[in-house]
Amino acid sequence: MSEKEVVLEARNLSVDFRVDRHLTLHAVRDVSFVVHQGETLGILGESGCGKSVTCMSILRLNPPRTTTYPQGQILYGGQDLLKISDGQMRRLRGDKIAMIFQEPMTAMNPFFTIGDQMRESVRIHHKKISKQEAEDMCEEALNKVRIPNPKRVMDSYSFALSGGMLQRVMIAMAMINKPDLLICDEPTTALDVTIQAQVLDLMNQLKQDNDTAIIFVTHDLGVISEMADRCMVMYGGRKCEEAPTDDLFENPQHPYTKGLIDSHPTSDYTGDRLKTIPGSVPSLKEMPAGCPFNNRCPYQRKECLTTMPDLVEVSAGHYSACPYMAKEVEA
Amino acid sequence: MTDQTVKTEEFEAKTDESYFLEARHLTMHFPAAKDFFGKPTKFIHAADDVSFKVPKGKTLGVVGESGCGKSTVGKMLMDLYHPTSGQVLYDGVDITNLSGKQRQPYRKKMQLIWQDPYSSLDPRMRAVNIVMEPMQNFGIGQNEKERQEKALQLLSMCGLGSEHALFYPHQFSGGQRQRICIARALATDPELVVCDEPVSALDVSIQAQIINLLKDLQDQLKLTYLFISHDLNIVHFISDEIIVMYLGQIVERGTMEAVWKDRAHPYTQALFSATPAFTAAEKKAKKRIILKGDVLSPVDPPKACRFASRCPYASDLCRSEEPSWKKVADNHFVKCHLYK
Repeated sequence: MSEKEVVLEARNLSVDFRVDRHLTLHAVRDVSFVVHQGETLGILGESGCGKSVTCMSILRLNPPRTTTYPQGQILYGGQDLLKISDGQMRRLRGDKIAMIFQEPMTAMNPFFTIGDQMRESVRIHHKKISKQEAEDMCEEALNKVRIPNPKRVMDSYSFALSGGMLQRVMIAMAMINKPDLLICDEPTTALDVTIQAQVLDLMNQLKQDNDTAIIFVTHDLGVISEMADRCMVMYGGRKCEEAPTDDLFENPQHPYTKGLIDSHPTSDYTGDRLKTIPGSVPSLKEMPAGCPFNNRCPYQRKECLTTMPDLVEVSAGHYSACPYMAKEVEA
Repeated sequence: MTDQTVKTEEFEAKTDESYFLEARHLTMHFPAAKDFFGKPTKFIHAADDVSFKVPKGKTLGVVGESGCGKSTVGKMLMDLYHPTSGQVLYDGVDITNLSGKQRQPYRKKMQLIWQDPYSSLDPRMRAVNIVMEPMQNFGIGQNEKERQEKALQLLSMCGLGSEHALFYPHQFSGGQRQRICIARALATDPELVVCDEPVSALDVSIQAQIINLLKDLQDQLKLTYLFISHDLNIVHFISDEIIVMYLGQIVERGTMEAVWKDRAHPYTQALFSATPAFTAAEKKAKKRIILKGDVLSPVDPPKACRFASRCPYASDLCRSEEPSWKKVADNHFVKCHLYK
């Protein structure tokens, strides 16, 4: 994996939201990650853990008036995406870096046909392409995502298509300019499982064909284990673990990851009760000092209440922000 | 058609004490289009000929994708929809066409937990009042004080202390709200609780807490659940019997263990294989079946197997004739032409 080119690197990214004069929320704190060409990086976490905000920061889609980036860099092609001008950013969006959103229904404009919206995304970045050529490109892209009768789909409006169809249109649209990086923010959460299986299969296919790097955000353990090569777990705006996917699921090194995996019934589970993580995710306002997981953690220590532990490499490529769990399991 | 009725009767013949709620040929058609005179011409077949029994003190799981009619069935049982045809029997009494007053005692015995704990609680009522309201409606308890005591007791059973009793819904997290919903459903001492996707709006780490709570309450209060969900692993964990629905019809039913071991209907197989696995052993064991195409439109579906358009094994017979119920094993039935 490491010999492949680095597409995007985030260094110590922090994102703050200013609510009013007295209140600033720290949505993301000190998160670093790297995505290589042709690799899928999964970001796993529950609602409010900062996974979507992290993604939105890459394309600077967070609300501009209230968002600040107090520290960190997002490096793409030698540029810091947090520093470039709005014009430069616009040229990247949808061309070099594309994004697929959670709700295909609300991501499309109901006033324009699918074809209009797809052609726009081609022509806006490539002025030299004629209308007819753009039309052909769209048709081909829709064919690639296995949409039957693409001509008819391009003439219809978003409300006339089913969720699965629309999500495939979204994928076609995102892939049409052959981006270097595709960001998927819970792309299958709104879909049924059998449709989800279709869409995931399709995305893997496209990834192999084009060697695109993918950042895949989800809260679904099953989905991420099928999609991601490497996986990063977030909690309370911080990264708490990162590892190759299989390693992560077999040998979790952070109590939060372990709790998440244990609380899922698997198909061969026969016990009487499910294991749980006590308590609930604190809101950003009530985030405890030190390690954000400390009030729910079975391995809690004094140090956890005051300082956030650093990420430590536990085994090759496996980083965890909890130095205590491994020790206690051994003892 | 006659063949099918015979089979269904055979299924129904095994009436015994252990079943108390029964749905017989429940059908729900919603008008989809009207002609010039306002007479409906097309119908959405939300549920077609749905028959099942709910085992007493146990959990019946209902699985299927969105639009397959699983929530419609739950709502017909609760009299929130009046079925186009078919009957709901409670302890052998037909309660489908009872008037409001006559229906009242049955309403008390059947309660519902909704999917979305954010929209199913009145934002202007305090937690304790929310739980007291059904008791007031049904005249449970001698006076307000008694009701209040019971409400507090129910809340603490559901894991909410008395310090939470005076909070408003917006002060609770999603998991806590669902606990209030559960306490409210239990306020009338029901025998049956219909859980319509009770955990799908919750965070992963909270889901397990709520599932455990439901299980504990079942043991304590001898409750019966009709558990509607699309998450197969959760249904497997909580259910004793299962029905699988596709486009308004039941395609497979049986005891959980039988269906889990031997998935007979091609749709059930696809549904099980589509649930992503995350443990290495499970991943290895799983062979992915990826279905082609989308679900048929529920508006006036053809008189044939409704799954035929996506089924990998479909033959001409499947596209022309509706399959009847076939027996796979004891307590395991499937509606598919592949079984003779």
